[in-house]
Amino acid sequence: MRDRRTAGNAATAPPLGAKRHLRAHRPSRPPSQRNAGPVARDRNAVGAAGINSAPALLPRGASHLAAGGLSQGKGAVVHARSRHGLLLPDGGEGRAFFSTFLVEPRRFPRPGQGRRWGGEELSLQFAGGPYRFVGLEMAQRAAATARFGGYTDDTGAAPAAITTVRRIGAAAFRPLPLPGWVYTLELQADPKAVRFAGLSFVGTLRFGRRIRGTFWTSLAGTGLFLEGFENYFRILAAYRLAELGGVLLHSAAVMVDGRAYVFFGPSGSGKTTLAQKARQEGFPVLSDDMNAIAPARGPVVVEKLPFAGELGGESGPRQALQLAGVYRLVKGSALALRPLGRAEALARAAACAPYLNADPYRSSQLLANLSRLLEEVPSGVLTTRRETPFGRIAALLGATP
Amino acid sequence: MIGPATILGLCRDVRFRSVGGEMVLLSQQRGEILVVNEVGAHVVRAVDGRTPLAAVAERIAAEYQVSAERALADALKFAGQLVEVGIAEVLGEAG
Repeated sequence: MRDRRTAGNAATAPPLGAKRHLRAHRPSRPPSQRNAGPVARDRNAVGAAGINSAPALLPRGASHLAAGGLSQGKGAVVHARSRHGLLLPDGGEGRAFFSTFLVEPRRFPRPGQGRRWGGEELSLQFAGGPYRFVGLEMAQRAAATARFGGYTDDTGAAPAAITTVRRIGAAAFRPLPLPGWVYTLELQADPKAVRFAGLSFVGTLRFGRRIRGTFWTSLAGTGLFLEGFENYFRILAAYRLAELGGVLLHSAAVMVDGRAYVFFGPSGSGKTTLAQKARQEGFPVLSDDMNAIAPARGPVVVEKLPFAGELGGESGPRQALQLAGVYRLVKGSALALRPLGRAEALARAAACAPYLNADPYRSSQLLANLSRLLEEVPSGVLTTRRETPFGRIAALLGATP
Repeated sequence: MIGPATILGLCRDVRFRSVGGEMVLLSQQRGEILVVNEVGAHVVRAVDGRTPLAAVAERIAAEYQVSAERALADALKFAGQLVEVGIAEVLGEAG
């Protein structure tokens, strides 16, 4: 596995020391937004680039061994994946969990600890929801509404998850003044819950009849509050979708003729470029960052999420769209589509399914969900050039604009 | 040193799923996902913390109709790869 520190801009990369959980990458947001604040996203926590070899999925039969199927190392294809949330008893390397972000990681707050910020509530509806937040202070609610207002739920429907927003002192967090850089969240799971920490926030999700979460923040709706809130929300959505048999996939999704084509891959694989091309050519983009894929009564569907990446945002289709295909995105010299074996498709997609793929108690569920979903739709490896018009890609995939 | 009497067990952080004869292995600790082919999957399933590699190789030889020597050589090499990438760990020696 490559040295993650080289993945960023070496000239400006912050000192990392031995903290392998904290990785800095060149921000992928537009320059105008790069100093808007640090973003703790999973996007850099995943990478599905093959390391050891090209896929070697050998045919059945004795010829495997006669040809040295195992002995020549063709038995395995290794895919890089998240280094975040290493779910070891001590966080790995002898470090305590959450030591990247918390001054005293052993004092991770307990459920119910810390006063509620206020009496405001907010309910948001999208894939897997409604998601209800209570205990918000007015400025927090205003900030969240400004960001996610298009998803406000006023139906009074029973929430799928309830999150209480509580206070935690700013002194609990290590100072990490690195605006514009991307961090890797730290997660720790057990059979009943998952705990996580990021810049200026910590969170817990407890699983039962409905998910009960706590979002601890030191910020009253300003500064990094929204970044923490969104990161909490991403994790919540990932786990909720998993409960429903779905998956949160690091991907771009484009609507063609009423159906959604999903292109997944790690940061740098060309998702945003592809989505930009699609939008320029008039194809609606759900997101170039995260998409919800879930089973439905009929075909598998894709649903736009509030955290839609650089593209998508408030625009693009809100309704669940039938999933037309799932394609691994690879940069290359020419447009091409090749088959993707079922196992490799599963492995590559799992590498792009944040949080759950680092949770030893739920990664089996992730593999099962993904396996079922991938069986329902075409998949493949799509090689594109930066200049390739999306219309050509759509035609190659058999889509009819 | 991995040999015919070596007994392997899957590392506790490893999760796997069989797909179309192949197998996807997810190593939490290493942050890696592997795909192994059908024969590899056969070996992984046989890594049960009790069975020495010699016995695993015998099963492979019978299943895939290859010589015992070749099956053992391949199984030992593949077992070494599994240990190297953090999928399996050496638990001891038989007998």
